[in-house]
Amino acid sequence: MLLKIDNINVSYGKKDNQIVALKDVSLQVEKGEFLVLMGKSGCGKSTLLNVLGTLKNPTAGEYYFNGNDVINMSDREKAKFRNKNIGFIVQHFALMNERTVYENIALPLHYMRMGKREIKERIDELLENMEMADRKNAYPNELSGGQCQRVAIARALATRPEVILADEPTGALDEETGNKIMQLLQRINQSGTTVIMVTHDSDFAKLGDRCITMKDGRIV
Amino acid sequence: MILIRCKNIWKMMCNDTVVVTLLLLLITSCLVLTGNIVQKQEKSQKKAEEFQEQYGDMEHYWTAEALDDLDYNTYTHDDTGKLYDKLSNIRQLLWSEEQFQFYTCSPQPIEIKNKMENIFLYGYEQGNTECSVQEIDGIMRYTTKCLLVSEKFFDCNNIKIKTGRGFEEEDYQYNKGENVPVLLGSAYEEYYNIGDCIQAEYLYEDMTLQVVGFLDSDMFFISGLDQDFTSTERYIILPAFRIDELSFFSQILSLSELNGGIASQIGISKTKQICYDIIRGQGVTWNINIVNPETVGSMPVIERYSKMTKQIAGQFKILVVLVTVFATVALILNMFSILRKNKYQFGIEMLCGSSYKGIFVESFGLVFVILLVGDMWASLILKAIGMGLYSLIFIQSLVGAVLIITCISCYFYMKKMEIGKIIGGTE
Repeated sequence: MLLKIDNINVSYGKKDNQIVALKDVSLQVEKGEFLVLMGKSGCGKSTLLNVLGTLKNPTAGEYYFNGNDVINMSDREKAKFRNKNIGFIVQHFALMNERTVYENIALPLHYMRMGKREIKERIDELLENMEMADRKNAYPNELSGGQCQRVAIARALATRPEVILADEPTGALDEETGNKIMQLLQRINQSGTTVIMVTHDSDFAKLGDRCITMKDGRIV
Repeated sequence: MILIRCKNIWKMMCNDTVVVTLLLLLITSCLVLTGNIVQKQEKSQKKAEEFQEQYGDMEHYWTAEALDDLDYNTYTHDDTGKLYDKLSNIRQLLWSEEQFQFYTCSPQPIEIKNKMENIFLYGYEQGNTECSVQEIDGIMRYTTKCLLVSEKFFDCNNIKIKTGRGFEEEDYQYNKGENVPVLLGSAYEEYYNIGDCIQAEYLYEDMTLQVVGFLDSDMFFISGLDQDFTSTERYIILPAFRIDELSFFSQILSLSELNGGIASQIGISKTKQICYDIIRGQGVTWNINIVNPETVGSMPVIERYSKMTKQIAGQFKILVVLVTVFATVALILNMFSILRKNKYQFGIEMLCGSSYKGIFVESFGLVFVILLVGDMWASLILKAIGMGLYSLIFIQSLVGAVLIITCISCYFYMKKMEIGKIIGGTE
């Protein structure tokens, strides 16, 4: 088992005006699994991804990754954990517009304290796989949506994480580009990387090994 | 890693070039202003303390000769010189009295026969200098402000020499036909040099004045005439001469030398008594007026001056606080705006493995860079305009305080901003 969460609760706001985003959510994800999370807007899918990505501390519950307690990690340990084990792909790509494709992909590698030469080799390989080798000096605003998402995927894969958290990765793309991105994610999963993906698209959901539906902060 | 942080800070600055430049200008100007104010505040404070030290335990009285018309006529028409000797003795005994400090400070005008700037003439402050310029026998004469002073005048009024020398013992001895050494107030510095000679007529006596020094700026004397502290900057300072020879000049000069002040710790009654004893001791019935300014004005002049100086120092302090608060608030608000603009970038950095601490370090780094550059510019400007070490040290400490306050504010703002929240919308 790669990760396990137990009775995770997340709530926002003060006591008298509290909004519950996650209510007693428990989940286990196996290594190499392609898990799809579905549900209406506001049902808690993204909050769950935030918790799994250690970007949000749950109000209560337990979270183990490879048997290690994640909840009680310090801010620094969580950052290191995130950098090493998790790759993020988000709907609007989350690329820095004033940095080149190369610089964007290099960012997590810098946090990993990788040497310059290794970074170059790693990025060249990734860009080759993404068929983006000729655009490494381009800026995100010079790329199409599909290309931007491929850069974001390359960045997510740069540190060779164990799990990819994808939040609506095809949400901002047309159907054809979306299909290509999904194929890419499938390839990544087939190479052994666990993928947890949030999507509204039921066709894409069918591509996962398992599909979980969420409603009102609970897994149903 | 440090390089990445530096690069991120640089990128943030580049993304907001206009705001950062304006902030730098604001910080620099506020620091320069603060440095200036602090320097002035320190000067005022020092002056207040100096005055307290100088005059705190002393009472100051004004003196003036008070011969009635008969006595005056008798004195000036006495060809035997007996009365002149008596007056000279009285004056000498007063100068050397040990129970109080008597000094001559007689604001008698002097007629200068060289061209004189308007600012030095009588009536300048009232905007009427026309009466101070006359042509007599084809020579233009300028009625100029002049003080006749004895040795103790300098110590009792804390008057300091800026350049040249002060009066020496032999300067007080008047020898007809020889140059008369004079000190000039600081405003004269741009018109005269040490060693320059000025043709003049003082109490109907022609003389050549020779400049031997300049007084420091911001020097004041207690003026019985104005009943206040008066700046020395536009005055010619003549030594209170001792003249052995009897003449009309020496007679009226000696009378004039009774005008001045007394710094005393023994009270007005006892001081008056000693003065009368000295006069009666010479066998004359003349009188001199000794006035306690406390009975003239509603507040003693020294206390008023000291209070004024302290008030100014206090006002400077308020100004410093206002400027600092303004700069800090402006910096904090603009930092918030920069942080808001960079929220997405921070989120991306978090996704890539940065810690919250790392993001805070970046924002603190930005504050640090802005303050450091502003501080450096301000320090250079302050140094260039001749501000002292005190103001430089003060602004460094101020920058430190502003840095801490701004960083703390940014920390809480970023905590509230939820920089890590980049996935999904609001649930």
